[in-house]
Amino acid sequence: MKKLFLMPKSIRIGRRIVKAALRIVVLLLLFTVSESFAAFERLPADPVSAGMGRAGLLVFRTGGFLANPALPVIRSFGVWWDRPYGLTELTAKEAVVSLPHSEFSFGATFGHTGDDTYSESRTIVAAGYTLSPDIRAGLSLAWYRLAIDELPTGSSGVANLGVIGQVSSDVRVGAVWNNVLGAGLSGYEDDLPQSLAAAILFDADDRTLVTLDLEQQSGWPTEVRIGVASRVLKPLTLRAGSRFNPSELTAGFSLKYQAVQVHYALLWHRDLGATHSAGMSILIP
Amino acid sequence: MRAILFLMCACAPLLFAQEQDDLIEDVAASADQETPLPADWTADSLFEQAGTPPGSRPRVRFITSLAWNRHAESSFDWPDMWARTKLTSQFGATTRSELLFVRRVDDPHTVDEIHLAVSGSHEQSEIRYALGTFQHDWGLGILNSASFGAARRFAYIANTVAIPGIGIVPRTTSREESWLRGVALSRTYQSVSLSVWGSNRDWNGDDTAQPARLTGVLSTTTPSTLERRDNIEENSAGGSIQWTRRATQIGLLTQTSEFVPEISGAGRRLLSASLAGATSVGSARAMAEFARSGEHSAWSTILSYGTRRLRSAFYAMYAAPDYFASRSQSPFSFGEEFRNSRIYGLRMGVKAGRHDIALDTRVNRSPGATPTAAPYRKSEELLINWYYRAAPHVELKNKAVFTIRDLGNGQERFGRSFRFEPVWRQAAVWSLRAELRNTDYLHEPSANGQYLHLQVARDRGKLKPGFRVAFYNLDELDDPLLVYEPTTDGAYPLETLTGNGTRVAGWCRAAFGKWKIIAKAAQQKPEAEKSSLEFAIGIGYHQ
Repeated sequence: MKKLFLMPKSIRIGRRIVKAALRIVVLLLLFTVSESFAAFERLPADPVSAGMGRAGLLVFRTGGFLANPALPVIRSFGVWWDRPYGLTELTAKEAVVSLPHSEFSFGATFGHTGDDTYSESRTIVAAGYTLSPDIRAGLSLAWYRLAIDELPTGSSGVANLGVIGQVSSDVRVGAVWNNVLGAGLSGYEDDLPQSLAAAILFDADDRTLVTLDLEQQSGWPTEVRIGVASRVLKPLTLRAGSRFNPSELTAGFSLKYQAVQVHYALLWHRDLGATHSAGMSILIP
Repeated sequence: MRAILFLMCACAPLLFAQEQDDLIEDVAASADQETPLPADWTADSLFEQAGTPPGSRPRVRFITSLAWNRHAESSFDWPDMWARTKLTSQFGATTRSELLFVRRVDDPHTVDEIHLAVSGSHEQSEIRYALGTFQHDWGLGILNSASFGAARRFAYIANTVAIPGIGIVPRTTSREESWLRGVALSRTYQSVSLSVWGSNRDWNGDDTAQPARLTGVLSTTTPSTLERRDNIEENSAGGSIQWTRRATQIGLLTQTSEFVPEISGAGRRLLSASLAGATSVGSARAMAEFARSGEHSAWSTILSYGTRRLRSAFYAMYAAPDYFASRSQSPFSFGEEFRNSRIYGLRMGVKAGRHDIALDTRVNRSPGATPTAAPYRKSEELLINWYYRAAPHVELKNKAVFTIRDLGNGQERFGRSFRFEPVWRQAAVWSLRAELRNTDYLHEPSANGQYLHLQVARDRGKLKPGFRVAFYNLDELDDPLLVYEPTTDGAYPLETLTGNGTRVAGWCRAAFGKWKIIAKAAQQKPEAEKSSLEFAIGIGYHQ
């Protein structure tokens, strides 16, 4: 809203002219949040990585394959929810399921962001495979759909490649190439984001880990994410982190009771305010 | 000295590919990048400079490389094609021939270049000869230099030992500034080496104005640049005498050149001389060269001291503003003539356990070409290399560069560059490079750039595939980023990246008995331009 000095009567997007004031407000809000109008740039609503500065390329968790398809999985089901910067219009929901099978791991998710005016939905399937005792690779295929009221619907198929390596007993490294084929959104001129991300994770001990992610998109500064998680009590894990470009401070926790885990994370952007992220994961016997 | 040279030549091919890559990249990128290398520059493979160890030379060696680019908007034609073939044969015990053919096509223009070298020695008289194309690598290269000469190895900042020029080199090259064509004879009698040569060759130059000027590498892009081809004729002759005893070497070189038409910087006739020497006492070593070309002087010196744990070197070089030597190469700048330089530097290297830290601090006080012109180069630089072997299969290679440059007119530029490169050897060689660059101007906004690449390659076995994906954001920066990328023999090995974009490259090297093959494909996707595809293939045979 900071950039909203004057309310235009209409704006042109592609071939359409949007006149309704409410829709203009939503679109301008999106512009403010993303710095350029590009769909599917926000990271998934994952409260575990959100609590660690969004550093999630190497952290084992339900739905981790969304960040890195090479991550091993456990048999589980999870649901996530987040509301960025207090904007109801951008509320995101995600359901994930994953199961391992021999040397393979499989995962699937369906997620939705937005409301009737602006809506992003994504369906992702992922598979990972253990190439050697120290190396795993994975591939995820995603189907994205963008629906904006009174504008054409856009869709796209995207492939992501990931790899993880266990360098030593307490150091893990990995990398992800997002949108390998450089797919764009049909009906729109924008290309979907394409990036290379790399990460390192260090297990300080059997309760604490520290992780650092770097993500580079062409034409954007390198995004740096740092996170730490510590299991302070048997059922309680605390997390903290920071993200740069854009800058956010984060904190979160997880509570575990038998096969159920509840997660929460708070992210703070100095200009845009708070994002709340919550979720639950259930181990499937 | 000869034993050291033998060991260096023998060991050079055994360097791991990664170390050799660093050597090439450091040398090329250590220069201040005000004059980025032209994109269509073609040079002898720097791997070939390592040479084949004496005593194990192949009788027949054949290497051919072909590279072409295809832009998104091009038709089925193949613009920007480059082909290079080198055939080396040995006859009898000592006679060797080398044929080099280079073709460059930038549709519709085609430029062909042929070089032939025959070398050998006459047993009875013990005279070694070279006919055709040859190079002359003398001293520290400030008068005569081969393309990767003595002090250029020294430019790798982890290296504190320079290797003196090795004299007449019977080697073909298409590098414009480093070859002669004629006949060279040399003989060694006890501690004294003598050589004489005569050469007649043409240079690319612009003769539309008088005096003419040399224009260096030939661009094939436009008819007007093609008109500069071989416009200037040079007839030269020279001789050298060198005395070597144990660890001491001293030599004198004199040469004369006649240019038709006369060229700026040299006139019609140019008489040059160089006095070069090297000596070592224990772990201390000194090399120096003083040259006089026409009415102007240049000199360069390197004093080094090294033990297993601590290495250090002081170096200095000077070339007068109007110093001109057509085959010189600035000892610490890749591909540039040595002229108008005043550079002093100190470098040190420390090995402590698994850490190897090298630093190089350099001051450049080269004056402007005229008393009222802005300083040509006035800068300070600090380069730091930190190599850490974290584990048997894990290495960290980090570099930091800090520069201050006076741009004249009250403007200064402060540059910072940080590179972090972990390498993990597990089944293959996995490496990640993250580089951050920042440039601050005294009276302008600062600029930032980032680069990230992931590479996986095999370095063992008969088949050695490799793959790299890179993303970069360099649009704010004035200077390009040079990144080494494996390629075919003879091709320029550095990718010049500017603007924003992505680059994906895959290659495969294979060795089957006496054959070796390398194939490479790459896609460059600049953000604001059309993407282009690059292909290269090379085949080599040795017997």
